[in-house]
Amino acid sequence: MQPFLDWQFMVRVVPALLQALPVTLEITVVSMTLALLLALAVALIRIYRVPVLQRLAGLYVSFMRGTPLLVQIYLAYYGLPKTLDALHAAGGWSIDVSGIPAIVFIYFALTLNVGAYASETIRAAILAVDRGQLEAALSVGMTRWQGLRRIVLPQAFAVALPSLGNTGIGLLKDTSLAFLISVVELMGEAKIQAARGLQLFEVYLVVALVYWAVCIAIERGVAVLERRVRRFEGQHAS
Amino acid sequence: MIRLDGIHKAFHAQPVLRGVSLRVEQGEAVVILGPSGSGKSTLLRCVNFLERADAGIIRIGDLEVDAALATRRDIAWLRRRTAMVFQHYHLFRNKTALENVMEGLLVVKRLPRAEARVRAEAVLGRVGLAARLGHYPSQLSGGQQQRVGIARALALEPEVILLDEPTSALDPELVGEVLEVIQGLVRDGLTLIVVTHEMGFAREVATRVVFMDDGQVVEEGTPAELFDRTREERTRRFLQRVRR
Repeated sequence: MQPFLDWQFMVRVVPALLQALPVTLEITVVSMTLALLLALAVALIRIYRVPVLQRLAGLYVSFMRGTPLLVQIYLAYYGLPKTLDALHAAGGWSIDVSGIPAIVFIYFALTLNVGAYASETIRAAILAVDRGQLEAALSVGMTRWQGLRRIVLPQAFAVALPSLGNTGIGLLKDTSLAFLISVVELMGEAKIQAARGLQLFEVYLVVALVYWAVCIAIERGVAVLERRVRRFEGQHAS
Repeated sequence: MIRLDGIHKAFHAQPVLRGVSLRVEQGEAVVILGPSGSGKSTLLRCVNFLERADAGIIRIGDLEVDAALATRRDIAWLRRRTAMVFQHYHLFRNKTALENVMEGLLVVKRLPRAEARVRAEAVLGRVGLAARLGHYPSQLSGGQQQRVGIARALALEPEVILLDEPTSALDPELVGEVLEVIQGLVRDGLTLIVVTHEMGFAREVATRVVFMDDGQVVEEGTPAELFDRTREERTRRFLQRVRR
């Protein structure tokens, strides 16, 4: 009778899976960074009710929240090359669409998806900062943008951080969809390893543990960062 | 010299200022009194364009700005010549006391960091907070926070400091320390416009007292004139109410 788990196989498969981990982390970090920039822009557009853009931003957030991520990834994968081809045909553009690596479509889809959710978090966080903070900045002669950048946004970031941390963890797990358009990240590598033998359960168990470990690391990192950025909220220090 | 001429301001078609004119000479400490809703805070906020007046002229020194036509540059210019102390302090919560005072010096006046620091430390010493430089607002009492607020305004060396009910949010036992600091500024010859409900302060410290009601200046004069030889019935009724 076979043992319930093939331990030796599980240990053997770990290095192969870890080889793919950097791709997963790269997708997470790149998409998160771009998504935060996009989310900040969208949040400011909606708060300051920038004409036209405000409408587009609302539509964008609604669409991203109202459609499955998997569908969005396919839309990016099939739609983006089509669009670029059309632009190419219309003239001027000289991009070889077939030369774009698949990971770019994943960046694109995840950035837009996470950007929509994060924009709502950031918008709420900015609105949670007392209006008087910006007024005080203006009163000492700063421009609105200086006041936002130096006074309001750091405080908003402290408010938004726990929620953004959750978004980041969600993003890490969502990168596992990238294998569907043949990006070999953690999940993609697991598929490959699983196809080689019959120990499917073992492979996915190991991969689950790897994701879990990274999530715990992110949680820890966010907690440390949170203590740093919330320093100013502390009560009576010496 | 600061001159306001015919300042009008309405919120949602509800007039709050109805043609207010005011003249403040250099070194004067003008106290504005009036019932709540009389427009005194709004008037202060119109001077540095935290509210944009619908009409009127704001003149500081040799430059004048028509509120209705003010450009971004005009507004920046006015804000650089004025400073504000807020009822609820509005210290930058993410900055220490020292950083609160340095912020305007670094970002607006573009002083080198070392120089800004020396100046900020000196000003904080002047308001009695030399020992609290590294404290965040959340670690300071209301009175201390408001003194940092005054230091932040002072450090910018503005032509006029606008104080909007600077002691109204304070616990009674903390009012004294803040009023003392403001009194010191008056002694040093700074130009101040103070909106307050502290009658004792108005009487003893103000060089001139202005009574506002319903968006207009009703009466103005020296403290002795306004308190002891009140001319207008509306002023008299207000003074009776607050004395009781």
